Amino acid sequence: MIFGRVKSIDAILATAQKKALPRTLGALQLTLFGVGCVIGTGIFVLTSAGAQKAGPGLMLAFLIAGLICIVAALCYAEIASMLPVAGSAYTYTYSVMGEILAWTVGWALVLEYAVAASAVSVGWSGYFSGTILKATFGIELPSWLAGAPLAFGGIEGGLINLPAVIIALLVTWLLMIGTSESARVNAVLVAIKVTALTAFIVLTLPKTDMANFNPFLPAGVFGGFGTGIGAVGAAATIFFAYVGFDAVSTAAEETKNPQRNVPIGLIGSLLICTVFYILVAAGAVGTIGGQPIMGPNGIPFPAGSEELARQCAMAEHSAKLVCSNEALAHVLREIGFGTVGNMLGYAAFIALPSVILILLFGQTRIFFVMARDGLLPEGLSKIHPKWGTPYVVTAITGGVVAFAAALLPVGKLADVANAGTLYAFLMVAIAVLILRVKEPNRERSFRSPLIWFVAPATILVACSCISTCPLMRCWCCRVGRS
Amino acid sequence: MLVLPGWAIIGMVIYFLYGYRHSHVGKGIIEVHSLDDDAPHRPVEDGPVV
Repeated sequence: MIFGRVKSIDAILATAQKKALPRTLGALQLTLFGVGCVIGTGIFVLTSAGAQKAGPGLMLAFLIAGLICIVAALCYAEIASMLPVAGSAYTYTYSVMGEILAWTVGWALVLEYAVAASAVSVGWSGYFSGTILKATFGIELPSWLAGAPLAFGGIEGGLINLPAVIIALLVTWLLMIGTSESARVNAVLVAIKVTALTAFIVLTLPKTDMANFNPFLPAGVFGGFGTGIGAVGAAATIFFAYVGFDAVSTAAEETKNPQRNVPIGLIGSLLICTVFYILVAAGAVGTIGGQPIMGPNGIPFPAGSEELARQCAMAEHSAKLVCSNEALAHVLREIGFGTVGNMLGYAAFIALPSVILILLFGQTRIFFVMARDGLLPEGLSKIHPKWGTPYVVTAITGGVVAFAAALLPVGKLADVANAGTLYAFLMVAIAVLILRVKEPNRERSFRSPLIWFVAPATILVACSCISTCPLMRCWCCRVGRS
Repeated sequence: MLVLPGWAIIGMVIYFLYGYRHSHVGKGIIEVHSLDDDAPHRPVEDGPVV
């Protein structure tokens, strides 16, 4: 019976005990892992789209999106505290719903992590070649080294995206030589991001004008069913500015005292990001205003629409928050901190490799566990005797990611990558509920409060988002972390 | 865009060609990895809290 292949929790823990990864990560490092993966460029670019949908209610939208993710994180935290091994949603599904569904979860996460890592590498490369090398140092990379071939969706005269290959291989090397070394580099990159956002908040909040928050919800809270506007519509747009926290659970097997530290890392990183996002939204809206550009029927023009672009081209709207492609830098320029605004952009992209690092980390740990379970060649699960990392699978994964970043149109696939996350959310929430019924007495060092609300809410959100993916092209995935 | 269905089909093909036949659970194996002598065997008890 194909659906009868369930690996019991005891068997999973026994396998992990037999061939465990070294435990080197603490609560702080796990939290930084989460922050490192969550804060990509989303917050720097999504603020405009969110404001066009919700106006000053953007702050409420960030709160709603954060709460939705925290609800999912509670499910992850409970099950991770029971099963502190690598593999995340794949392992949890294996222990409850069986091998074939576990395989589908693992395979979906491969798509998410690998494609997103490649796409972020390409995004970083574009900024590195264009803004850092060309605009700052006057060095122009030959087009054959700056992008993939045109036939593959790259650039004119392109052959290979060398900066993307280099950053992907650099991160791979870092992950191979040690988890704690990777965590240290991640901490530095996260510090750069957090410093940039803190600088934005410190510079903008004192200049806020309460009049800019009025009306607070020009499109209402719900904005009408299916319209995609209002605070809830904006929350759906910026939901993916939070995605990535689940990568924390893939590090459970390398975490000291995982029953305590994994829940702290999952929920702590989300709380930190939520507070930062709300304060950033308050600073942006409070200083230059965040009212949407309304259509003739009193409903905001859709974010990203041609009509909105036409409106933004007019002099009267061009300086508005909702018309900016780089909202935070735009706000700082508007209030007289142009240099800091430019530096903010630099910081956002310099720190972007932390996203690649955590995505690759998560990818390799899921492959590692799948290989350990025999679903992939067992040689992939070899652990380096000195570095203590799954070096074979890390090298192969990094090579594939670098190859895709060099030659393939991964940017076009990035918008579907997050569907893997939604599927994983769904399965984890179902697994938590099943375990509450089937194994009510098994020790849980972290018990999610209100689980019969929390898990169904997670299932509802995941299903509603997946169901809005016509032909599996997720509307809410258009704005990913990259 | 049929990326996800395409990806799922590729995944199923790999599973049935390799994973299904080599699965440790399918073979009734619980204690595994005895062939890999390089792997450091470490207990999973908790380390110090950081």
